[in-house]
Amino acid sequence: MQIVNVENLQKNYTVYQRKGLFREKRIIRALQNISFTVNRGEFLGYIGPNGAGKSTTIKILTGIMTPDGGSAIVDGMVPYRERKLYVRNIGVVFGQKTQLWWDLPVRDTYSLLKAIYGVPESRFKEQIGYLSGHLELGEIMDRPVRQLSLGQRMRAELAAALVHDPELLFLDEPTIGLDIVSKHRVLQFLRELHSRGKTIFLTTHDLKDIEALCQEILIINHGSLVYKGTLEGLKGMVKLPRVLRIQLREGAFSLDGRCTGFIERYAARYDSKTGTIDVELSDTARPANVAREFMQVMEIEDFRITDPSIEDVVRVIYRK
Amino acid sequence: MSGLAIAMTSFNRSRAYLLNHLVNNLGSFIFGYIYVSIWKAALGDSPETPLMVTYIMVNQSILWVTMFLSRGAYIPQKIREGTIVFDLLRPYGLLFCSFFEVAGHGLYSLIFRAIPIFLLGYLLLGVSPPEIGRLLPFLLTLFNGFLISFLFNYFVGLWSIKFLSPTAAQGLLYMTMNLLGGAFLPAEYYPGFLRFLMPLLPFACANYYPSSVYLGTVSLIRALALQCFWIAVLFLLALYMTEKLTRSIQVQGG
Amino acid sequence: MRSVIALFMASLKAQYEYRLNFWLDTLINGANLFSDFLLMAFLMLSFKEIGGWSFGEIAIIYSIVEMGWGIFRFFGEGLHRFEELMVTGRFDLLLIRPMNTVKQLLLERIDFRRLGVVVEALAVAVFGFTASRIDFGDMWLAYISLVFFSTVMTFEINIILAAIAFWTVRNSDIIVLAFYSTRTAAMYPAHIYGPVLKNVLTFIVPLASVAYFPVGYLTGRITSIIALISPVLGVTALLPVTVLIWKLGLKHYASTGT
Repeated sequence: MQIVNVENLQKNYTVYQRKGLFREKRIIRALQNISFTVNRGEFLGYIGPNGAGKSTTIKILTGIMTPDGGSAIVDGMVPYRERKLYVRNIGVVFGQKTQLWWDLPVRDTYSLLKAIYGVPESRFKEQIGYLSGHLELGEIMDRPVRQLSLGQRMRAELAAALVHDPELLFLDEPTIGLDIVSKHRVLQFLRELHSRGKTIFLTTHDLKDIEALCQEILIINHGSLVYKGTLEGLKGMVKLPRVLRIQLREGAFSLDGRCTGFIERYAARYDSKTGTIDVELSDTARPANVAREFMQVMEIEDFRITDPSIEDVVRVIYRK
Repeated sequence: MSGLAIAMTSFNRSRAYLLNHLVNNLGSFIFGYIYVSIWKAALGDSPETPLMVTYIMVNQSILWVTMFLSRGAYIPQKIREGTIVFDLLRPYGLLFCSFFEVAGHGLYSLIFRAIPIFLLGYLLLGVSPPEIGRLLPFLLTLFNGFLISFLFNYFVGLWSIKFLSPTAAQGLLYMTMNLLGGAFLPAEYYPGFLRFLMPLLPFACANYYPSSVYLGTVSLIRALALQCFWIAVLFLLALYMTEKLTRSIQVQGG
Repeated sequence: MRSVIALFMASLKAQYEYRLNFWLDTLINGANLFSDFLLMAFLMLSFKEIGGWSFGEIAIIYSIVEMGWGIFRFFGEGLHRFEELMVTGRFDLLLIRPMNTVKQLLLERIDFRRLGVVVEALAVAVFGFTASRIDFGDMWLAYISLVFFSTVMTFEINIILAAIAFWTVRNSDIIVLAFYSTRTAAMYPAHIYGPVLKNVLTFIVPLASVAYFPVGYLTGRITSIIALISPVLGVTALLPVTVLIWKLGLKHYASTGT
């Protein structure tokens, strides 16, 4: 069931640059005919280089910005047209800005949000209990926001976006700058939310997070949609090979004729500094055959096969 | 970095806000106009009126050099940002570099604030230009006024090192300067014993004396004597307190 | 409203935690303005009247404008610091909530230290009424209603000035130029100024309509009946302008971001 339906979305920015004595007007096409749909309950990863149009898309989908062309319908509403009604059902976290009241204890932010969203007392208590348990807010509830560490603040921020228990979540770089433990907690919680049926839109530069959490990936570059689909689909589309890395035994670095022959045959890369040989696997270079050969020919310490990392894959995409 | 280099950096840094400041100058001028209107309404057609107009506008012009100088000589800001350690570690001390930093800004204010506001007053309100013989004395007393204002701001800065929040000290300084600096009211109009006391206090050295020397209502000798006296007192106090504070920080480790 | 009470209690708790700083700042806030008033007092010792108005009468209009300002700063700190929300982009977070953005700005913070201003302005009013020997009974009613209008107008003006940030991002200079100076000017009788400033105070930043004109009528110095109803006129005339400019600003922001 569709919850987001975006069709031919367009957005232009006019930028003025000083050129000598005059001001030159430039039009930046931030979004060029973006179309996609998202189903209810999906966990979508939204990635793209800086300036690709990610924030613009998010701003339009959250009702903050009006597009120049095309349409966006979320949960049966046009976000930027019925803002006050629409935002009742979404929760937003901006990684770089906080909606928490800076001087007040965390608890008071939630009370204020409760009043703003009109959450009934019983629902509120229940929700705070749930959030506090999963995000371990107990220790920080009564501390002023300005005294919190980044990790603590982000957990509190996430909870703030959920006080009114929205169905749809937009998260813009929620894990930026977080230490490993905090990040783990946040990701764990996102997984929990997803299992409860929430639809989540995650924008991040951390591709490992995407890999761990998202079923669908949306890649945007230069204002256009470059890919929408699953991670496997993406890896298949880019066709980066798996790499077999051979770690030579120390002292076995001087290569004899048989080794060099092997390297030439498989167009392998030899790094004398680390003593490794990288072989790209393919249909003509099957792992079993390659392994049999190099074990006969060299003295090895170790070897392993690595899948193309999502970073490598995405890098290729970005370059297009 | 030598003192002059510090001053020039500060000068250039202030230049980035030139446009904002030019807009602000209009605001200063309007304030001057308000005070001038009050005085004109009070004095009516007295021969003193053009003198007061000049007195008020000269003060409005130099306020940016003698009163709105910097918040605590930039020290509270440095404490907040943590860069204060650099100044404390330099061989020539906090007072030295604070002075040149404020001086750079002071020079900027003189050129881009005081002079434009004065010109507006001259063109639109009939402010009398300085008599040639009094120009140099005026500039001299103006410089002294700047020194005193700097020293007071510096004390606020030292206070913020000790007590972290400068607001109370800053507010107190502003209030005292406002009340006793003479920007709106020359000493002659203070009631009772204040008429006698106000010109003896250091605050009057910031605005009352420079403007009065400009007008010629106070002799240069008298103005200089009082200014130099207070500069000496405040300077020695500043040296002493800086020494004490630096030593206590070195002991505590900041 | 529940949210206002929630914020009120939370802010009070939070600000009162730093008790010493709190009282000091409150005191300083009030004392600073008092020093301006004191200088005027000194001046009035030498001159009995300014533009035909006695010191007591000037004190009354002084107090009305001050009260409006103090109450505004008490509730309206969010509006006052609107520039910050624009620069950091935090304003977006207000758009994410199902509440009118102006209402939310009023919920940003309640600044209890501004009570110093309110107390000082009240003291000045008491002085003004005593000094001008005006009958207390009716005059206090008039005073309170004028303070009400003064507050509403101060809010209207500052909403408009804040809205400018939708176009220019930074608006602090405009505020200083357009508001601080006119506010100060409105604290003194408007007829001492030249036609330009007088008209600005009457028609553009109409603070004279909440203090100078009505008080002038009540003390018999201005005879036109319009002067008495000018607060209502001023506030009502400014209302659609305020709403329009804010809405236009929002629309512009929604279309261009920052």
